[in-house]
Amino acid sequence: MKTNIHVKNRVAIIGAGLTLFRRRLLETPQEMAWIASKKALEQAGMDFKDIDCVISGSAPDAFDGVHMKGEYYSEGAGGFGKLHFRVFVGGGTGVFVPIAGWWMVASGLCKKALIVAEEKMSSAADPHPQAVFRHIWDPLIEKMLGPNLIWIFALEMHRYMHKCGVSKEDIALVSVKNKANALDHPCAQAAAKISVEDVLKSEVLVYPVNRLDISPVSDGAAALVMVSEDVARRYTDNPIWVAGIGFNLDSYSWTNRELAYPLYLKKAADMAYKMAGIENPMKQIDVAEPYDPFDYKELHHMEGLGLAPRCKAAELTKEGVTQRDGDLPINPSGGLLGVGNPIAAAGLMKVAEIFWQLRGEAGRRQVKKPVYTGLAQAWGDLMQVGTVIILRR
Amino acid sequence: MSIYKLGGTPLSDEEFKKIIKEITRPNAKYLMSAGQAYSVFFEGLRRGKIIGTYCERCGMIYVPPKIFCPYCFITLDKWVEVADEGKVVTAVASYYSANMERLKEPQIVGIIKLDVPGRTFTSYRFPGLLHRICGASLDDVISQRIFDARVKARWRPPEERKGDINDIECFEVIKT
Amino acid sequence: MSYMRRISSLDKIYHFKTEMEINAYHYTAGPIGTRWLEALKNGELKVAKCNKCGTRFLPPKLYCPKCFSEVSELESISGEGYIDTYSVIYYNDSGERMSEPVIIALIRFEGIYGGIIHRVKTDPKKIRIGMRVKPVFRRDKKGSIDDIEYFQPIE
Repeated sequence: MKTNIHVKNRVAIIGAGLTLFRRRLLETPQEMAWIASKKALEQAGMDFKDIDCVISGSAPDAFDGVHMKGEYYSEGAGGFGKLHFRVFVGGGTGVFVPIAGWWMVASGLCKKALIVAEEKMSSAADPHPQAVFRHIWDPLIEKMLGPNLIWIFALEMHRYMHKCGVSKEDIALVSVKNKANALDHPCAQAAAKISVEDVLKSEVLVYPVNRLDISPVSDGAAALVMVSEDVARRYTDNPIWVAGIGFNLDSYSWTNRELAYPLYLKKAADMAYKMAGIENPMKQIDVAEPYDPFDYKELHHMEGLGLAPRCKAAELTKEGVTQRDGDLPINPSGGLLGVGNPIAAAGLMKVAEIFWQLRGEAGRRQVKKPVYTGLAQAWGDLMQVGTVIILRR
Repeated sequence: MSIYKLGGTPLSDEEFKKIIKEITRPNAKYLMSAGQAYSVFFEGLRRGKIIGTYCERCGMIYVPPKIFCPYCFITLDKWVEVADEGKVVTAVASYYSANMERLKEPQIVGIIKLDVPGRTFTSYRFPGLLHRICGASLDDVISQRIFDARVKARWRPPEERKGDINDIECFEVIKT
Repeated sequence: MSYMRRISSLDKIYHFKTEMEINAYHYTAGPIGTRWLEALKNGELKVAKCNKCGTRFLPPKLYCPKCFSEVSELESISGEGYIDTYSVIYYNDSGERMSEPVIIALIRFEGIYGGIIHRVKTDPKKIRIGMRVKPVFRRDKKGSIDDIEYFQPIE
């Protein structure tokens, strides 16, 4: 696919904002979208009235329990009387929202875009938000077997462990790192100082997945302000540019293919790298936020993104390469494991983190080495979709 | 301090229980048609057979059957009976039900790569089915002995079959 | 064609019944909405007020629907409003004819931005747009929009 396309406008990010990520928030979805949007606009030095389009994202309607929830929550982001649409690619949505924002601004359809992702999982209270997940499967075949969401992750994790010779101890290091990183994140829900031992001793949910291998269920929202180059120059001396985007979908028949390696993610990453002129991601990406709803996923995604050789991400993690002070800091925010997992909002939180890292505004989370190019990625659907965005200072 | 500056108002489980809420129960009941290909599959299960379709162009076999090949986009109209045997590609042991209720005994489930007489497949595309695995211990899962283990469908008695995926009770490890 | 022929020889297409296995959604109302529902529980219909631009509005939210500032105040109103538009409902959710029709209306209040949807109890032949109405509260209230049983015309 030819992705070195000519665009009308270069696209910059000039502000980002988050709500707290928590198991339960009192605020309604509209109010959560409003809080995150207002924070992002504040950083950008803008107001709601300055925005000319609102691009939003959220996971299945069944969590919030409101059909057409994009139309519902986007009111809090001022998403009326303007261009507004909601995008959805399952868990990959959080990074897909700024991708959609990019094409709106890059094409010239709008110049000042508010990017919002919202998730209120706590509404699906009885019996548990998990009950809603069951409706992602083929209703006639897989759903009839009574699966829960952890099954599919566990199946993929175990396949990865088997194929790559990676142990649970190696994988637990990711959880330890991310939860510790999140201690420095003001919005974090699941920050903790824990050991590999703690992970291994936590309750087994679906072997090989223990409780501390998983990110929590969360409420939360995130927002970005994305603008064209001429607008960016008027508002800031420190814009962060979108250097590349990529996305790719594999087939729904997830039981019919190799799960140990995310081929669709490689394709998405290749698209983004080509656009950003990146030939050697291991050298040219300075900091990354791969999607980590489960700890093994960080390793799996690093390999799909070409940030580690195949089956070698665990070794890099053991050597400390992926720590905040390492050569390739991975998930310095604390990721979904540490900050929390309000699905679409969690993906967008990662883009916000790369934005802050490149601006040097990540505070105590700031990585040690100087960073110029960063990457955020999300994943979703039935082991199907990869969404990638590359930012540059 | 303003709520916006605080970033929201966290609620504990207790507070969530007590606070004023609107509680609504969805009333959505669906009747799903299995369509033509799945209906052949389910009818096959009732008769103790696993039926798929195959693509003449790429050689892929689909179980459950599809009426089109998602890779070649051609109509699939050739049926094939697949063995009720195969090998385990990956397997896990679940301690939780679909609604996240704790189970007494872990349930072992996995993906089974089904045998098709006279055909071979790569690890990247094969007829694979998610199902329960029986005759394996937790230790077989943890030790990864379960990987590549040969399994065979254990069918429900014909009179109990309903024409759905649960007509196969589980795939049972073949003792060697 | 060969495909269709083979399939149509099958006398049975399978169907499966299924439902959303979620027992209930629990919706919180947000910081201002919660206080507004508490007021309803006390038999009082209030409106939210924006401190910045002065807009008074319904339904209440944490942000002003006009200027997007944070809202932290509720204000009492008389509760007397007027019908902006209405509809007479003869069939229930399941498509069955009801013994008595139900009137629902968009009810607005003087000087208030927005409004609420609620039932109006009156003769369907007599209802008209612009008719003045007031809320009638239930005896047992729980902090819900349903604590207002209906609106009734002001004589």
